[in-house]
Amino acid sequence: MKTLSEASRALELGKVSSVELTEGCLDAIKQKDAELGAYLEVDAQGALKSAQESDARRQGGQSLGPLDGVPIGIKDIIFCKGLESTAASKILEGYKAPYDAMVIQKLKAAGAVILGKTNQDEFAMGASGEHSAYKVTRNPHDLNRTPGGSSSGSAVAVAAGMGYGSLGTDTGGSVRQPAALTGIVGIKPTYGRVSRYGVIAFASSLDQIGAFGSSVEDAALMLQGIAGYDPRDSTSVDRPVPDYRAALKGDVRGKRIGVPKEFFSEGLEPEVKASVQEAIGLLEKQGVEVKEVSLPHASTAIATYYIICTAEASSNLARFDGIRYGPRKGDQEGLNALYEKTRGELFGDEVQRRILLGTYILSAGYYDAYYVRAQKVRALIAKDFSEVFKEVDAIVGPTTPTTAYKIGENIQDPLAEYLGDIYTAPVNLAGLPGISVPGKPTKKGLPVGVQFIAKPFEESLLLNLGYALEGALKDG
Amino acid sequence: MHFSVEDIKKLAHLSRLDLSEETLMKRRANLEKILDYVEQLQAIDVEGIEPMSHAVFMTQHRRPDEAKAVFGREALKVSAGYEEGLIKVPKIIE
Repeated sequence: MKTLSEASRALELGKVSSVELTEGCLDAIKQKDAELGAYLEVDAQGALKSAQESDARRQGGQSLGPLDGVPIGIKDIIFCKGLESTAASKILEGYKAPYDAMVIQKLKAAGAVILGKTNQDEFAMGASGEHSAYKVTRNPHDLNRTPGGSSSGSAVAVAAGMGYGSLGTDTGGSVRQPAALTGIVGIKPTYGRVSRYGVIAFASSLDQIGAFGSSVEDAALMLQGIAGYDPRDSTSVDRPVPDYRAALKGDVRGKRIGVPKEFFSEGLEPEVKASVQEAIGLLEKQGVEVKEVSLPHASTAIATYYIICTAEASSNLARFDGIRYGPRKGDQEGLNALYEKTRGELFGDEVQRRILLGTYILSAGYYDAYYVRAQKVRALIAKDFSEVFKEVDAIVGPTTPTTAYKIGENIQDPLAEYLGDIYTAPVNLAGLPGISVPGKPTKKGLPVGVQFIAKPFEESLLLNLGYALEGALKDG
Repeated sequence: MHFSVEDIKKLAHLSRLDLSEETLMKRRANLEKILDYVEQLQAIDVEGIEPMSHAVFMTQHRRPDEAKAVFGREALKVSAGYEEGLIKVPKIIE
């Protein structure tokens, strides 16, 4: 069984047990993960115990639903009580989560089996999986290439059969981008759709939890398991959660889809462009109306994003001071030395770069010129989308400008890495939902992602469009 | 954008990061390049535009003013300075 949906149906029909599925994933981790580096911590004992409990429930006719007994992986930045939650940083080495994040409470209540914590770029800062303080995650399609990031391990766990689904976080593309580069489905819900209670904050006005699966139906089931209102996250929106799987009708006739011309200009790899255009052609054959649209401020999204996210990060990461959590350095030399040595030694390169930039942007004399201006441009970017959504139901384009790049290729050039988020970051800035669905791979076999973007809370439409594309590619 | 050695040292201190001279110079080069890149925003006309601080407009939730269970002193154990229900820190007043 390759997909979560297939595993779920097999469980329902009694063709397989949760213990068998879980042992299968644990074996796959044993065989492959030394090379791939997707997991930071594997909780074999806890997973097998949950699997046994799930099997007992099912035998007693008390199944908790489609996720009951399904083994999944969780990004390290999300709290699972009793497991280490380091956000792949040395500054939180040994830190065990004191409680479950809201999404974990929900998944456990739905019977899901948690295999362990997945690797990521430190504090979700990075787009390649190379910025983990512990190990590099590799792309299963080509071990010399990155799987994208920051939810690198969660994407690879699913892509390599070391979990049927997984959770990530997406601040500027960190779910959709690695999904695209590893050939799976990744959905970033509307800002406010999923509670962030129990997730280590990076950039609070942008962060959102998202889900990975091998198919669109898998992503729908995972999203169903985590969506909903939670008073403990002040940005959580109190609004009913639709039945996402029921939205997968495959009928997309008459839907109007906009193709932003700015997403097909300079910097887009020809093979990625061809794959996305082919996908758009397949949708047209299914009765979708396609028209060109314009997002005139989209090209400024990376500059805007890096001002806003670093400002928020420098403030959010002030809590890691060596006093409250994790290891201490310079303890004998006074309070300031403790702060500065702990943070200087235990934060990685990318995190330090962002803290420095954010601190600069928020400092007296620069706040208006950078931060306030970026917030105004952000409003323009959001307005571009709302204008386009007066004419179309959804937007389609590439998820990333290139296929997966080689490990080490961009490590000395942060800006080159940042530009990989050019099509995903505008979606976070506007708070919209987005999904990446695999298109046709390149001649070399490298995955390509097709991104759909919709109005707030239109996840059902995104999933149905993705489902239609998935079906058309299978038939074609 | 150009940072003097003094500027970057001051910024590192404000960020509470103790960095070697070599690392500081590397960070300075990265920062200068990124700030040059974001300079493009200065050319955009933002006259009359309200800054957007959050993705969705919402009013803060209210809840009844009732006491709720919170973590006890157990939660402090994650600190490296934990001792008998307290967190030990270096001398604060010199």
